[in-house]
This record gives sequence, C-alpha cells and structure tokens, in this order.
Amino acid sequence: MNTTPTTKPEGENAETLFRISDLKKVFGDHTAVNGVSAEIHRGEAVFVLGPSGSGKSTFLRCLNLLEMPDGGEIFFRGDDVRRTDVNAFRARVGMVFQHFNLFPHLSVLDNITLAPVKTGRLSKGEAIFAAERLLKRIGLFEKRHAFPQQLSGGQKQRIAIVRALVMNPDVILFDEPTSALDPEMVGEVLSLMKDLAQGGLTMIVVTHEIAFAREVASRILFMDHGQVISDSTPERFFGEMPSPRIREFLSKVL
Amino acid sequence: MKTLFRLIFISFALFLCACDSKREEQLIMVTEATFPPYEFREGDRVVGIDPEIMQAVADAVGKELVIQDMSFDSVIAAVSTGKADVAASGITVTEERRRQVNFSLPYVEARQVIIVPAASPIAGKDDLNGKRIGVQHGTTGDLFVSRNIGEPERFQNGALGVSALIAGKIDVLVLDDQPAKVFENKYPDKIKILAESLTTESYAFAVAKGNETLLAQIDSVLESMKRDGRLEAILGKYGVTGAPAAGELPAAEKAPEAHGAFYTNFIENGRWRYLVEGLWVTIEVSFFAVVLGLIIGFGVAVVRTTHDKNGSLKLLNFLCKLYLTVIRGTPVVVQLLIIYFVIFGSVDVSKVLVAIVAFGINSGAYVAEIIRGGIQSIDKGQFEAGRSLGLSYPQTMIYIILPQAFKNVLPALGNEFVVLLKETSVAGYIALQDLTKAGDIIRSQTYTSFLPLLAVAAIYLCIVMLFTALLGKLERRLKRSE
Repeated sequence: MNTTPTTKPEGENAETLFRISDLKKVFGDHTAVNGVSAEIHRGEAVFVLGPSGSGKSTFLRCLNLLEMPDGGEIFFRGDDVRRTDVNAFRARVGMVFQHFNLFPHLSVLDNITLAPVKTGRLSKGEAIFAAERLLKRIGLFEKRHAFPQQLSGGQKQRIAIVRALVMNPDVILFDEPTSALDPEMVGEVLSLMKDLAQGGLTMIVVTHEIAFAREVASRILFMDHGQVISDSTPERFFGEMPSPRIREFLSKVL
Repeated sequence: MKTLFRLIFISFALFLCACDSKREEQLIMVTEATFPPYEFREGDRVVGIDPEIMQAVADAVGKELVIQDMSFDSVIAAVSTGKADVAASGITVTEERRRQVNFSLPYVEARQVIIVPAASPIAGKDDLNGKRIGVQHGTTGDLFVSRNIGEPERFQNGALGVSALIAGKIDVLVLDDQPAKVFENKYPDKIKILAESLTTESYAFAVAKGNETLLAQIDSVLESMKRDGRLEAILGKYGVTGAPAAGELPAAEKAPEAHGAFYTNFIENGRWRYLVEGLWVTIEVSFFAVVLGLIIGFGVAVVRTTHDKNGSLKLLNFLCKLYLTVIRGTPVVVQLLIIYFVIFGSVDVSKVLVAIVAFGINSGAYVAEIIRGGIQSIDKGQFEAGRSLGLSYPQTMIYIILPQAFKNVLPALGNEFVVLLKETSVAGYIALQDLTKAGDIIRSQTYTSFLPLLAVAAIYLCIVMLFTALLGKLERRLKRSE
C-alpha cells in the first residue's frame, strides 16, 4: 500500500494524466470557461493563476465533472471522462475545497476512511491503518477521534488533504485551499502541500498565493476571461517579459 | 394594567349576562341527529319525532326551541352539566342514566334489534356468541352487548355500523328498531332484521336532576298529547306503529348505589382496563405509523431532491408530488375512513393495521417535506466532497447528506410525531378502541365527563412528555459531534 506517489517528474516523457481540449462552460449568458486546452503530466504541480472571475475554479471543477462541461473534451489517462464510470474516475482524482467540506457528523478518522471503504478500495482495517499513518505524518494523530468542529481551520484543511490522499489518487485538485483560512493558519497548509509536491504528487492548484506558486509550481497557467493566456514555467512567468495583462495582475497581487 | 383587566372582565361579564338573558327564553334540546325517524337532518334542519314533541313542549311553556346536534355519548352529560335543558335523542331509560339525570314519562316502546347481512346464518340471540358484534357507541345496545355477550365494536353512528356490516367487517349490528328499519328499507337485499329482538325498552326525555319544573312541564305536555292523540299522530307520521308507551314511569326510582366518582369511572366493572387497553392500542398505532411515515418520508424526500438536483425520476417525482398534495390537502379522518371502507373494504384486516397504514401514509407526507427541507439545508459542498471522493449519488445521500439532514430536522420530526400521536385519537371513527375511545366508552357508561376526559388527557400528556424527554436525549447525543 502506497499513499504517497513516488513517481518523480520525468520531464517530457512523463505520462499524460489530463488532456483537455477546447473546454467550455457556460452559466446562463456568462461563459466562465471559453475554450481552454492544456495537458497535465504525472508529477507536475500546475498552478492556475488569474484575477477573480477569470474562470479558474470553474475550469478546475470541470476536471472532475463537478461542473459538466458544455463543450470540448477531457481525456484522463487516455479515456474520455464522459464515457467512463464517473465514480471510478473521481476516485482517482482527489479534490480539496476552499471551505474544507469535512463531514461534520463524522470523526476525523471516519472522514478519512469513509470513501476508501465504501468504494471498496480498502478494507476497514487497511483504511484505518493508512489514515493513521497519514495523520501521524501531519502530526494530527491525536485528533483522530475528534469531530471537525473541534479543529482549527488549518487542521481541518490538512485533514481534508489527507482525506483526498488516502484514496491514493493520480492527481489532487486544490480549489483555493487557503482562501478561507486565518492568516496564521495558511503556513501549515502550504507547507504540507509543498511536501506533497516535492514528494512527486501531481497537483493542480487554483490559488491567490502568488509567492507560494512561484516557489512550488512546475508550471503556471494564467487565465483571464475564461481563457488560458499564458502557459509557462514560473521562471518565465515571473521573469523579464510578462504580457501587459500579466503585469497588471502581478502588480495588484504582489 | 389593572384597569385594563377590570375592563375586560366587566365586558366579559356583561357578555355572559346578555347570553344568559337570552338563554332564559330558550329551551335547549340536545340530540344526535343520525337516528331516523327520531331525529335526522333534512337540509340543514333537525327533524323527527323528538324535535316535534319538544316543539310542542316549547310551545306550551312559551319558549323558543333550540336544537343542538352532538354525539350521542355526550347528550346526557350535556344535560347533567347544565349545557342544555333536555336530551331528546331516542334515549332508553336505564339505571345508570337515572343516576345522572331524571327521565320524563316514556313516550315510546323501542326494541334493540339484531341486523345481519342478508345471507347470514345467524338466526337469533343464541347465535351471537363469538361473533363480531357492532353497536352504536353509548347506546343501550352497546351496554347490553358489553354486559351479556362480549366486547362489541363501537361505531360513532348507525350508518357507519351498517357500512361495516355490509363490508363484512362485523357479523352482526345491534340497533334500535326504528332506525334499523330505515336502513333495512335502504338496503333490502343486503341486510335483514332478525325477528327476535335483543331487548325491549322505553324511550324518554332526560333533564338535569333538580330541574323539576321542566320535568313536570314535559310530563304534562306528554300526557295531554297522549290523551288527544297528537303523540300517536306524530309517531304514525314517521311510520312508528304500535301503541305509545304506557303512562307510568318504568321501574321504581331506585336509589343508585352511592360511590365516589373515581370508583364509578375507573374501578367499577374494571373500567380502568379500557384505558390500559386503549393506551396500548394508541402506542402500538403511533409507533408503527411513525416507522412507516419515516420510511415513506425518507423515500419521497430523496426522490424529490434527486429530481430537483438533476431532473431525473420525472414520473416518480410526479407521483410523490401528487401524494403530498392529496395527503396534505385532506383531513386524516377522511383518509382513515377511505382506507378502512374503500381500500381495505373487501378484505378482512385488523383495524390496528388499517390505522397504522392510514396514519403512516398521512405522516409520511409531512415527514417527507420536513426531511426535504433538511436535505436542502445541507451545504452543497458536502455533496461535492462526497462525490469528489468517488462515492456514488446514493452513497453520498446515505452516508453524508441524510445523517446530517436527520440531525437538523430532529426537532421538527419530534413535533410531527407528537402531532401524530394525538391525531390517532380519531381512530375511534373506525371503531378502534384507542385511548380517546376508551375515555368515550367510560363516559358513555358512567355519564360523567370530567374524570374520564381528565384521565385521558393526563395519559396523553405523560406520553408526550416522556417522548419529548427521550428526543431531547437523542438530540444531545447527536450534538456531541459539534
């Protein structure tokens, strides 16, 4: 049993997890995502940046079909996600939410073990073993019988990350994971994410933590008005010659 | 503040006086107008033998006759508590009733007859043992059968009893002979009256003890009506043949045994057993109805929410909406009677089961809407978190949404169950002897209202308080996770 992806980024030869082409999502008369194409490879830490309302979160939520795309295609490891078993697919794509979305009626341990047990991925015993190992790793083992309401925001979000990790997913989607945290809680969550990225976990992160992106990202997608207008390494993104739109964005957030 | 109270008090007193002064000019007669030809409704008027005689009395004493229609088992109590002047409802003179009221001269001889389905093998009194016998609640037929044969099924009125007889839910119905004839004429090929009657008895009017003036007035009017043939004319007009009753009081006025009201209502003849058995029925019906209601409610709520969420289950959703509209739009008594007489009309099932089904289906509609509200109150992030982990829609519902929704709506559900418990008190309509009916039976035998009603109310209150306490415990236990 292995809950930490050990596959290291292998540059151009790494397996393609997501191949997205011309993705569209429309809410009423507002086009949130307007023709996004991208590839995500195993081992990458892809950060999606952009101003509010640029469609970052909607794009991310389309990737595990929490939002049904209105156009375009998403292939996950070579399969069209809309033709595969959506539950099996989602079990391989973890998600961490802005508001944690822990299950308040379940203890920390039950929060983590519910999905692997009910989806038949792990037996109850295996799930508890895996959960306790992960809890020890993030230093929250003694909270295993606590309920979410008894935890701080930072603790909740780290439990939520463990909840996604225990499924041993191919990729985890992070939807603004620190936006709902008090400033003093942000650090613990970011440092866990950094550990995971350095451990080789594939992640797609929507965030406003620009400095963190600069430090951890292997690639940065910059979105505006529902489109990806820049797909580059952090060195180039934060480098000498940004486009005027990026320059404007960075001047506001840095 | 004090002046305000005084003002209210004075106006209230004035209002009462105003009523009282009007009351002086009225002769208030109570009856249950479902007893043709003695009293029945024609349009919105109560007519029949008793109203005509009482009209003659009212005319003689120069008062205005006011007729109040109420259930038969309450008419004696209405007179003895002074709510009415006279009970004229085809009342048979009995010793028990004599303890509560004074009777006028009898004005007719009546018999309790045995009605059976047309094809029944039952031929007479001697065949009644072990049969399911129906009676009209609180009548002398009820008393006679309870004492001499066994526990009857008590119907609110003769018509419900006849329906039950025709539907095969009882084998025999005991009724006064005149109304029985009316029903037999209505369904000549379905029911028949046996030649041998159960008992013979006299009808008289009842007035409150101590109201000697009115009693003397009624007696003198009756005597003069007998002399000049007016009484015979009225009886004949409604098809009652046979001579009017003899002029003297039937049976000497025996001093009834003096016992405390508590003894009479609960100890005498083991009447407390009615309450115990009734309580058991009420608890049994309520418990299983709650379980059924919860199952239906959860099912309907999930169908409705699923439809709202992704537009699937169109037909099922339509059926659920229809169910909610019909059940919430009609009274539970009507539903109970429909389920008893129509849905289970031709099959012989226990009335407890009928009541459980009726109240369960009724409660399910309210539970469904409560739970639907509960599901809607759960943050949609919970749903997304479940689905994003690879749980299916049903798994997400069962393990994540419903437990939280249930906890949120527990107080509302508790309230619904308290309402349901008390709603089961209408089970008497299908002659089920629940707690309320048990109180009614005691009242109809002892002709006292206060103690039986108080006892019934106290028992309901105790159950509700016990239930509320248990619910509070459950709520606190579920709250531990917060």
